Amino acid sequence: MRRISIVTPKSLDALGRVIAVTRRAKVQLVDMAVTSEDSLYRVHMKVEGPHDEVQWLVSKLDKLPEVLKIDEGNIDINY
Amino acid sequence: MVDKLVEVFRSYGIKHVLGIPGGSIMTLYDALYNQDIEPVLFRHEQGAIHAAEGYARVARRPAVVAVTSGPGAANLVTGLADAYMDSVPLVAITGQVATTIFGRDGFQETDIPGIVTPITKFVYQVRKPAEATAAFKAAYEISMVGRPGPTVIDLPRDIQASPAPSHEERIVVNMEKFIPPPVDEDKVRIAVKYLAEARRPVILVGGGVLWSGATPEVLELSKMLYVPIVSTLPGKAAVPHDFPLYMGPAGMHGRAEADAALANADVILAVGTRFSDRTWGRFKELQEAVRSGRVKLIHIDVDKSEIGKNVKPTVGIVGDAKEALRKIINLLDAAAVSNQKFVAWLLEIRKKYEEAMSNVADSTSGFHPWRALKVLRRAAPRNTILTTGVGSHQMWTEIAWEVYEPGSYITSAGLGTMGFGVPAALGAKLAARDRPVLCIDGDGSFQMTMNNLALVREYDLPIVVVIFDNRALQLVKQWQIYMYQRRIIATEFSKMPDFLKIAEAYNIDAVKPENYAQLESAVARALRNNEPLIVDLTIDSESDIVLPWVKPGDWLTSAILPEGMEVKLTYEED
Repeated sequence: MRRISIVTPKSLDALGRVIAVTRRAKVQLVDMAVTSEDSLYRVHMKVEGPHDEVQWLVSKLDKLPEVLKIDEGNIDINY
Repeated sequence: MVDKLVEVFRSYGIKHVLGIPGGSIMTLYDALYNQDIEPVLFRHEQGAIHAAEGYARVARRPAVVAVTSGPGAANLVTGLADAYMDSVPLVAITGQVATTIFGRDGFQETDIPGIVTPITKFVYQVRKPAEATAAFKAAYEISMVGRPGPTVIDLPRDIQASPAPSHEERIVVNMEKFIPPPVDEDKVRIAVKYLAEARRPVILVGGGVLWSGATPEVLELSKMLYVPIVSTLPGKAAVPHDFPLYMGPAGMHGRAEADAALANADVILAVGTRFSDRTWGRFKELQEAVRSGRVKLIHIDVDKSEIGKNVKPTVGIVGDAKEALRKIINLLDAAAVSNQKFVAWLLEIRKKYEEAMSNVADSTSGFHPWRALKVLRRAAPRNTILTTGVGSHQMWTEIAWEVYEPGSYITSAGLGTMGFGVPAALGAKLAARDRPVLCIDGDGSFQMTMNNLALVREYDLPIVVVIFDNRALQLVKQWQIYMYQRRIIATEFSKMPDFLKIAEAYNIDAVKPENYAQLESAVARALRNNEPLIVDLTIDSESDIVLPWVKPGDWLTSAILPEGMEVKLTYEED
């Protein structure tokens, strides 16, 4: 299982764009949480699936201008 | 605040706003009254956005579209998806109901950001007057930076009508990520090594080469190593076809020599391409060959999400195509590769195809699309911009139209949008009034957006449209013939409408030529004199079978070739 952590502006439109990309990925979204901090949302995802598909998702998410920061790693590192 | 927005338009050098006004965008249109930015009134919003695509590809900068809320905005959806698939920069401004009635199902209220989210590079709904100009600037710049794409600004009616704010609110986005990173020198060295060791290298050119301006580097590299060039359908616009090592586009309806080049290469340098199934038929053979090391695949793309998306390359280089190719050229030993036998084999395939098609055309009563395109190419000046609709005529242009100037072939490649041709031609002409613009359309495609012909006289946009009139959705019919045991259903039209009368209704001259000489002289005269013309070219549907054809899901060497062309597309080395 991998974790994906994303920072977006505090906007549901931005969040909607993140979800629109994620729903097309060939991975299982095991868990997702959104926390709010000042003017930002922090999106935490746990995903399960082949490595290439996780990479597909990360790179597609990283194409969104609203994704200010994204990082990905093993589930036990930072989630 | 709309006056401020118009000031921003001016600061970006925007000369035209394409669209149709309506209740929720009237304030913005009102701000254009008596200004030096011309609104261009289309007959359907789909026409406006395809025109914006044609405009942007010729002007090489984003075009601006403005439409009203609800149906006006929804009518942009196909064009936005088309622009997204083909990486075309444009900014669409959609009107929206007032913020006070958001979510109350107001008249012509539609959640456009929700609808276009998956088909835009960026979308922003303005909620405060102070955001409006900043949102437009962000949308304009994002549409062009890195890999281009369409963006949308949803602009509610009350925001448009509000007084100009004293400050501009920042739109928080990460734009830096789109700036191409420096090219990884270590990966370039590996790529150079593979190219130097290759026996049958091939350069695959995608549309990214055009946007990067990397055509000179592609040609230089090809000449240095005597490497054949193959393109995708969008990449066709990036390579002058009289360059002797260009084999044409590969894929479903690509050239046989291009399919053969790709299928038999041992090193493929793929530049600015997303590895579409339309180019490759299927990926299995390539994936296995790359995995086993039989083929070394070098993939250069400005969009890192494309590296490894469909085929995992041996070397993936993220960066600007021009810069990456320049680095490769600088490191290469010019004497590294020269496989004249491989190239000679490919050119022999070309020769056999041309001979076979010539025989097919000779035996066809009436016009054959392949020969008609040869005649039209002779009639059109070298700098002619060609647009197409989508269908069999488009596939014939892929095979037989020769592009001489980069950027002069404009087609809907990724989405395959029927109706693209006429409005794209209008947009291209608007962007380059001094250049001849020719649209090759099909009768099915033409009927989808022909209402926009009204702009030819209204805005003095003299385009020439040649309708390959086979009274069928011919490419679908071809599939029915080959893949559905000739069960022809819902693909044949009646003889209506009369296209000559359609032309007359829009005050455009029209001809229905009876032979190739008449076709050539009519089109040459219209293009030379910068006069609009519609040509109704009768083509027998039964003889309009586009070949080569790699059936969906087949590998490139399985291409069905025209009658009389007896060649194998598998290379046998001595």
